Amino acid sequence: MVVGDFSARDLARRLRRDGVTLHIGPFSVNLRSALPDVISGAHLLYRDYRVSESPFADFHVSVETPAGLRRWLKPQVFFSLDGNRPFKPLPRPQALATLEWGLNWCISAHCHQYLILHAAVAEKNGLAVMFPARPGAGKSTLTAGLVSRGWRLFSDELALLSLDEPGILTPVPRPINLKNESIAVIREFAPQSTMGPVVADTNKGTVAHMRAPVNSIERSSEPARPGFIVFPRFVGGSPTILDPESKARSFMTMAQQSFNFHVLADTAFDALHRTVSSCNCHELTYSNLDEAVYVLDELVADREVAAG
Amino acid sequence: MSNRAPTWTARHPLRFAEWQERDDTSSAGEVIVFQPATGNLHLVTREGAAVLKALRESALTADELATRLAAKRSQHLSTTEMDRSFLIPFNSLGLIERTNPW
Repeated sequence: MVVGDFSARDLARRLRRDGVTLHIGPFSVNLRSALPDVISGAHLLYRDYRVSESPFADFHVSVETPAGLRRWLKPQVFFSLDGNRPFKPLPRPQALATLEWGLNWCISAHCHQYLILHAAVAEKNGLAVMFPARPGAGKSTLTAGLVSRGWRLFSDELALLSLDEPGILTPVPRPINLKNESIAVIREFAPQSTMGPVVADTNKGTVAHMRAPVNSIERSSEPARPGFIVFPRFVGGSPTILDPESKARSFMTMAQQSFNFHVLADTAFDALHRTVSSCNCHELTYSNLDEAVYVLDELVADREVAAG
Repeated sequence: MSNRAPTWTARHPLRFAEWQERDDTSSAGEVIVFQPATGNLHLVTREGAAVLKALRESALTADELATRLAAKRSQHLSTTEMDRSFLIPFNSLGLIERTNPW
């Protein structure tokens, strides 16, 4: 059974009571909320995710309004994990974004069975490409563009590098968080894509979430090996340029942007060393999404030819 | 007075990562140095990494370090020049402890 099998009313009833447990990549997340924005958002963006009837979940999360005056006066919402509220509340219109950011935190702060890198990951023909980048570099836009052209979504935010199976990436496909101008870019680039509500004035500007492709969700138990590390860099008006990047500098950047390199220490060092060694590293400067997708298609195709 | 020269030693175990030129022409001899005990992670030249490796094996006085570097560079390097050109930025890595031999 998937979320979309529930009627909107039934889903709302379940989310208000015991919550609904979703399979999201390797994790099970029990979500509770009585907020209409979260309920409708879950129905839209998590439509294709399998629902578990097991009482066990890796994370029990909720998005709710605080008690008291804040329920009505400049209403706010808070995210909670196992009944604890790790963050300050946010304005109520940001309820769905609060859920997404909270889930990012749940994974990045707790799942140390993986080396977690701040990177998007997409896969084509069995070869994964990692896109590490600082916020605003265009990695989510690029990822949305790729998955709209047949690539498989692993994540637009968190690369989960296995420590048990060296060099293996685990998918955790979730809605893609698009910000500001990227929302219109993807609407034009992929008019068939499904977007959640647009929310203005967040800490990250205006945000909207694009639904993950159903194929990516259905194949979320299939890991892949990375073949490339590509640092995307959106520069308005720039031609599309793919340059080689040094492995040493790639290692440094990825380690610095990792969420738990410092926790795993030696283990993280070894895992990242193996991964960088097995990948070709590049920097991709782009302003035209069509061209960027074409260049990456060709990059992966060339590797397949070389491997063949 | 030369006995009073400071001794330099790598305080904690270090790990290194580097790539052969045939695998990565763009790294230009860069080496990653990681100190698990402190979490310090640095990108250094191959020469710097070689000195760090030497310091792991035994403490060196500044003069000994200068000699070793001079040999690697195939040129004469005085302690003063070494301090200025090499050890100061090296020290900023936080990887080397300056110990008092007494």
